[in-house]
Amino acid sequence: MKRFLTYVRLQLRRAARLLPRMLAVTLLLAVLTALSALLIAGLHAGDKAAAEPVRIGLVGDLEENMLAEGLQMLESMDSSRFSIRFEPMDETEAAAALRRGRIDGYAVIPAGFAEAMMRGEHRPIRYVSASGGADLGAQLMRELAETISRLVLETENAVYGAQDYVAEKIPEINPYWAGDMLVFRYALRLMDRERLYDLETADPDGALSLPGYYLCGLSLLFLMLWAISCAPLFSGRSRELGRLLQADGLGAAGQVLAEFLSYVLLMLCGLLAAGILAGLLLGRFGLRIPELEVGLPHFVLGALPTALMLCALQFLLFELAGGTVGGVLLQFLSAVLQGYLAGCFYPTSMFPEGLRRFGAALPAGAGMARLQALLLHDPAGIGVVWLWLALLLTAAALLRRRQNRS
Amino acid sequence: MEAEILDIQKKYGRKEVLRGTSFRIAPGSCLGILGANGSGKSTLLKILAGVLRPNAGRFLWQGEDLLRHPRLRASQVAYVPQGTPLIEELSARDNLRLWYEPEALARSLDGGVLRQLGLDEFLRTPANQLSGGMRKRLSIGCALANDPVILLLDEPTAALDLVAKERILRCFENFRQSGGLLIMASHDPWELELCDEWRLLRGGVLEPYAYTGERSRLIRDLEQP
Repeated sequence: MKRFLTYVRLQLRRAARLLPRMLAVTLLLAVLTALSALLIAGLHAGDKAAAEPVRIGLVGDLEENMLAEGLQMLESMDSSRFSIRFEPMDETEAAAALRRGRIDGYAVIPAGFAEAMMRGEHRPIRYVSASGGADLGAQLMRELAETISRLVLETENAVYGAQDYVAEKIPEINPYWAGDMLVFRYALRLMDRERLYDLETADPDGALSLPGYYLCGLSLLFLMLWAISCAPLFSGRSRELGRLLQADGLGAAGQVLAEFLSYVLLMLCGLLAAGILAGLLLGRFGLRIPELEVGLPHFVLGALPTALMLCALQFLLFELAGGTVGGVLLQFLSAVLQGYLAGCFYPTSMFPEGLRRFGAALPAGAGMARLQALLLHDPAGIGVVWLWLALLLTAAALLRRRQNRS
Repeated sequence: MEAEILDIQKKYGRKEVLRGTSFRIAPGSCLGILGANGSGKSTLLKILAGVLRPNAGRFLWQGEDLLRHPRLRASQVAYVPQGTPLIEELSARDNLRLWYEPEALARSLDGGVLRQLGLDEFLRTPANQLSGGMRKRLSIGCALANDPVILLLDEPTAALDLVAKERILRCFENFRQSGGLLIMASHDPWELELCDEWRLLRGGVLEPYAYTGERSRLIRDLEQP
């Protein structure tokens, strides 16, 4: 026990020597995280940004009768007039405008598109977006194109079916006239401005606001990347010392615990500095996170078990890697990969079910779930976090024991 | 009272590194263990120091098997490994504090073995700013914390300059003259000259060896499978 306490004291002293360097890196990371938070908040805060229409370039023969009329119709509709702006241009112009960010994407309409459609031929429209089809906008466009295709096809079937019925059963009515009337009525219904469509954003109880979600994501990412600043604490460790201590009675578990405590001390200092900085920035820029009404200190304190668990993960990764370069690389890869799967970059609701479950089962996923629950004043997930902490520390102790015996 | 090493065996997987190594050594003497790289010298010392567990064997001292009594072993046996078992960011004094009681540290620095090693010259310097010789002296100082009777040394002066070598070897000589017992794995002629008995570890077996200081013969013997 005496040797353990002496080792703890010396490890704390060692950590204190690294404190200035670690604080500098922490502050840098905190500033970067805060800037990201401000950027995200700025994107979602203003109504002005939300009202900005999507700009779509249109490439193709727009003089074609039906297409021109269709576009004119779309542009006259109240809803689309405020949400989408079409700009006719040639493909070179469109590509340049997309590169400069002047438009969000452009659609290339093949020659004779409308006439071909009337003849039942399939000539696909090509949609080009800056992200190569990986963004949400491109996916929505694809979904919309498919919906419209189906709508046109089904309407056409219904009109021709009705026309055939009239021709067969009601001989006193001209079937072509009946067909035209059906199309007109359908168009009138479609054009009914009041009942066309609307989009409502649901905000049910028990769900996080977007800024709240990103606060959790960025906090988690910050806690995971922060370990990089502590690389010297781990890479400078002598394996010979571990062996001698083990032979002298201070086993692997004791060594790991003592070193982990010093790491936790560093983490607490870093978390405190980052918390103060975040509080100052939130106040300075008037950034409001609805779930944080109880105060940032409450969130920082509540996040401690998650921070401890992530420290244990980082400890284990440094133990696995051994050297500085390997350790830093492993930490970075782990932070980015686990952060992605935990939903730090994109909400996990966009992922396939299997991937979502896998991400949630990882330590970062458990941490993210706990931070989100914390913001919603829900005790859920705390047990999983403690369990992960115990598992990771046990794994680190077993690894150390193996190293000491080699 | 002699220290007796009996039938030490060690396997790494299927590879048999030590096949029943046995020897005796009397207090006040120094045993030099020679052998090619990978022959098992360090493994033998690690087993005697309690770092590795043998598959079989005993290390008897005053009627007790030190391999089965870790506390007794820790109080009687000191081990200086090839690497440096130091906390690099901390001063020499802090490193010594890990192993010494405060009073014992003060005593040893005042006129004891730490003074002999010259550690008082750089007590405040962080370990990572010390020269190779100073680091080795500090490692030996740490190992001698419990006033051990048996000192296990794994190539203790490798890669040190002659002045540092001489200073450390003088310390070992003093240890031996005070009744201490040295077991040293080495290739270095300077170190081997300190020994009064030599054994060659070859094929997992420790054989008596007549060291003459003749280099060509030693190389030839080491090269033999």
